[in-house]
Amino acid sequence: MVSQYFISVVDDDESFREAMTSLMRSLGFEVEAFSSAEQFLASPRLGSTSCLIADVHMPTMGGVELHRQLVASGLTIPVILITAYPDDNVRARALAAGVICYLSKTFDDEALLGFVRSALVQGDHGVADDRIGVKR
Amino acid sequence: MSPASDTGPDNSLEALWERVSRSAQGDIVSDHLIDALMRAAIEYAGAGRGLLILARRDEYWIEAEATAGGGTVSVDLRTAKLMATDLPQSVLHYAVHTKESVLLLDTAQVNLFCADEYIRAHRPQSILCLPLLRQTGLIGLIYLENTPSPGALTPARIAVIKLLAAEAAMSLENLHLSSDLRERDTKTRRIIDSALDAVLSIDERGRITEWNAQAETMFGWRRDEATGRILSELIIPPQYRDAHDKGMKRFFCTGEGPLLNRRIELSALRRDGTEFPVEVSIAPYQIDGNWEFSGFVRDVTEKKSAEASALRHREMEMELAHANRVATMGQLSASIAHEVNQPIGAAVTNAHAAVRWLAATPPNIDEVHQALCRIVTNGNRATEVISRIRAFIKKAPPLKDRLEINDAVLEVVALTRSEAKKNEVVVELQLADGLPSVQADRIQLQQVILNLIINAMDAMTASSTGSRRLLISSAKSESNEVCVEFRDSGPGFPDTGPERIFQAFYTTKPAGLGMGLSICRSIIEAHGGQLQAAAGQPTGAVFTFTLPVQAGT
Repeated sequence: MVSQYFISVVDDDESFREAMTSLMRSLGFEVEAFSSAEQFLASPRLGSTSCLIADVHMPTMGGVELHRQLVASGLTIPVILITAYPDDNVRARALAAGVICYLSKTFDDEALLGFVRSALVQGDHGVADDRIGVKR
Repeated sequence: MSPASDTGPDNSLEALWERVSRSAQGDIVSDHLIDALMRAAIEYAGAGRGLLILARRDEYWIEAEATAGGGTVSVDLRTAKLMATDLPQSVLHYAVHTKESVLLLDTAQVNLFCADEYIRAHRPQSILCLPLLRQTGLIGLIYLENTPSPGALTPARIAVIKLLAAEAAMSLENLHLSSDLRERDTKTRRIIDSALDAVLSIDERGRITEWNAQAETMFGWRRDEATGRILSELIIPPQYRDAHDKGMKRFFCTGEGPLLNRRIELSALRRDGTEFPVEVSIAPYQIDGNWEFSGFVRDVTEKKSAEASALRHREMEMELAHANRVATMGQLSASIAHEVNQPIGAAVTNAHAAVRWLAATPPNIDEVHQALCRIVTNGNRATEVISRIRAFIKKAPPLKDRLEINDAVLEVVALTRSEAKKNEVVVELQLADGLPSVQADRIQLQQVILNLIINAMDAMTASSTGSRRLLISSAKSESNEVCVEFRDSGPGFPDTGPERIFQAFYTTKPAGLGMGLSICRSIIEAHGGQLQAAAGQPTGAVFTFTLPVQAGT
């Protein structure tokens, strides 16, 4: 796995933030975690983030809104939404708005890895990777 | 004992005595005896007029007046206050003070009493006044006047009359004593009969000896029917009769009775066979060496049914409160699932990471170790959430315990964190340090806190305007109470005012039952506190509940 990709994790839940950071590092990515959307938006890492993994439910700004703001400000960071409370309506809206995927917090790590690769490919503008299989 | 001389066979002392004794027999001592005595005295003394006077406290009353005329004696058993016109006052006073008899054989002669108005007015030829003395002192006097000849009243005759007077005094005293006793008995009877409790007594063999009016009403047996019957057969339900008999036997053997001299609850039997609950106190006492037992019985049917309905009411309140908790939990189920999923998700993610770190070349044991430690923490957190919820929806009788109000608030806030997040509500806490403990049922109190938080969130979510902010603060009030305030930025109250919302079935929510706040208020009030609502400034609602501080903190 290449390490020039930079992954940002945004989640207000510290335990999940820690777990996701560890998992991403174990996959060979460079990771930085943020406890709120605002903190991420204000971070210098905003521009260098290759893939954003964000929680759907956060107190002041959730993952869906964060994605909307990124799109609105012209930042094409691929976004993976993750939630402890999957909701079909939110999923449909989020996917329609262009997020890579909408995952439950008890996800399959292979699936997540697949989406991350997919996100990175999308970020690389058309670099195909046959190994990426979108499964959920 | 015989008179010195006789005036005839009818007036012989023996005849007199026989007449008097005959009259003294039987119950109706009073009138016949007095009549006989007066007649005997008049006849024997040969007096024209006689008075029987009784002392009552410091007053003198005529009990009988006898007059002789035309060969007959008439006795008037009138009761009248003694007047100065009835007899010579000076004679009376002398006899009363000296307790000696006064004998004036010829009032025309100079004597101590010749200035007496009565004597001057009526000029009785002779006067005999005998004080009636008993151990208790002077109880009355016999006054005789106008003996036909000055010589009629010989010392022997006077002695006989004194004897009659002594008999009269004794009889009258007995009469008074027994009339006192009767009076006291009547009074006791009235007290017993006017008692609201059934009053009864039994002898050593368990036979009824006393049965008051209330007992008649309560059990349905008249006094004359009940008296003499075996108590246990009459009013003790068959299943308890053995125990009653054993209890009596045990008392006679050991002098002890676990049911004696205290108030106990039993079941009693009416005449119609129905049983009813009673409160009974039984006390043993002795009369002439024989044991008797008095019983005071109170019908507690109404009290029991009031207690039962109070119990049903409490049970219903508990059911309602429980239903409300379950319903609230139902409403929160999504958020609670989130609250549990969060640590589970973290655990799974950590496990994935651990597997990856282990599979790396070389395996990164340090990372594996850290991930596993995090999994332990995650698992514990999930368990905590679940046990908190289980405790919350468990149906348990209220148990008041000492608790810190801030801890109770924090636990509920943790439970609703996901709900707040979902509804984008910012919950702020301003909990005062060093608050005294309160005495409360944790679950019920947290139910109130939960309801108030959920209500605030619902209110703020329903209105789309402005930021959603809930400020929960705790403090100690001036009146030594702990108060907790929930201040939201929602739309506040409808025009009907804040009080309306506490009414049962009042709701502004499409799916609401409208029981939440009324349950909350009854819970807080059952804890001796108050739950109030007020409009917030500039908008929103402020709910405050107070709880009394636990004594000694």
